[in-house]
Amino acid sequence: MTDDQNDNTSNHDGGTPPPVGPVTDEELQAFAAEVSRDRLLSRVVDGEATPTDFAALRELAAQDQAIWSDLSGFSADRDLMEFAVEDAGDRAARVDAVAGSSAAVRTVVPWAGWAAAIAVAALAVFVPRGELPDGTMQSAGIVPVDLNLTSDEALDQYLELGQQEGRVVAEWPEPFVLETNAVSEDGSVEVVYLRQILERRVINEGYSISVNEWGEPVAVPEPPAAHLLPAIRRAKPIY
Amino acid sequence: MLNDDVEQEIALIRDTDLISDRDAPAGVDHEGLGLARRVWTSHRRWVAAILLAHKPREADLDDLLQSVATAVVRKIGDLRDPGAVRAWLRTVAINEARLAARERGRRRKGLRLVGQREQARPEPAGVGRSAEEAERIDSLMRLVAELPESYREPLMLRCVRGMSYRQIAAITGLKETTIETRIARGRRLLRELVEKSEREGAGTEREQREPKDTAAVTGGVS
Repeated sequence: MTDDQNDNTSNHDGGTPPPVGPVTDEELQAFAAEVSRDRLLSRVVDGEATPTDFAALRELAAQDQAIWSDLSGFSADRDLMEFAVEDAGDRAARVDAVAGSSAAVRTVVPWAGWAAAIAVAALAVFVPRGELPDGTMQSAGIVPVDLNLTSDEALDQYLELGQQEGRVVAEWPEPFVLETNAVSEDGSVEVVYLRQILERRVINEGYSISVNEWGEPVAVPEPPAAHLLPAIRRAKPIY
Repeated sequence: MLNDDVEQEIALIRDTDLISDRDAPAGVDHEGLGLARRVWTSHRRWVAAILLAHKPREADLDDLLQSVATAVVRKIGDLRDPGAVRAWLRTVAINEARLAARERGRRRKGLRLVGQREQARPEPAGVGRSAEEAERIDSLMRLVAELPESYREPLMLRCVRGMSYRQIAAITGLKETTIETRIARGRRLLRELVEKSEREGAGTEREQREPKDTAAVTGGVS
């Protein structure tokens, strides 16, 4: 048995349905001949053909003209794949292992510790002030916020309530790391990152800013539909 | 020749650069860092080809390359035999690609909160080439993604400049003749997919033309 036949993947998982019933000797021979022909063409396309291979090619071509179109097809496909691989290699050449490893600390540093600052910032923006007698803050007149919460817990609560209200859609699982800096000898790293929370709102009133006859800025009511933006497919990460 | 390559590789790996310890992530010493940089710099082009063969279609290649580079630094201490660096790197790259596929699935689940389907974003191919050529590369790579994984990898590796059947065999741990067969079978299957796709494309074009022709004839008769 040759290596062609030893190669288990050759016979089945290539998109053609597996043969039904026992394989006859003729079918096996035809398959082996086809593989042998394709191997020859492949060696020619890859520049690995020997003088014997070229002699075999001429002999085959005398009986089978289709070999030239196969050769040209193999060659064209290879050229296009080479472009794709070359492009991927160029991208790889722009990645430095050491610089990359510090920028990618996001994959090894646990989330919990460094989420605090943003969580506090989020609360500062979204929770209007107004202390209640029991030491909690009034949030938008609806939900009291417990001041004893950690920032992570508070953010979790915000996300949960936001989802219930239909405002928070999802939190993007990976933050974008903008910068990392070594801060001490023990290997601690300061990470500056962008946390992404996907939210939605329905807006029924809109304004645009214009100027009046005295050159002063004025708000002009406009239907929100006038400000419809094209969908953003994907924000590019900032590195 | 292969032995020479391995010898050179070992020499290259032992010759570590002077890199500031400040650059080192926690847990990786100065020597490990130099080693990681050497390994990555010497092999990253073919690692990119491995990633092309194994990554999920919608995963971002640049992100994956970054993840592999990071994994190389983190795991360089696991590399016991410098002669096995290629096989080790291949495993690291494939694991990162599979991790990306799982992560992708998890992320999709998370985003179903809004009942929207995440768009499969095709990898931009052929940057810096003509639009027509870039489109042809992209179409072909979509078909390559349909090939069995065991054919995709040797096919992609063969497209790395200067990589021989023998070197691909060394990376994948398969026999040279098996590699040759898989490349040839992969090309044949890809040809069949390309021809099928061209036939379907031509059929669609014809269908789009035909109603117009019929309308013109009908218009003339009435």
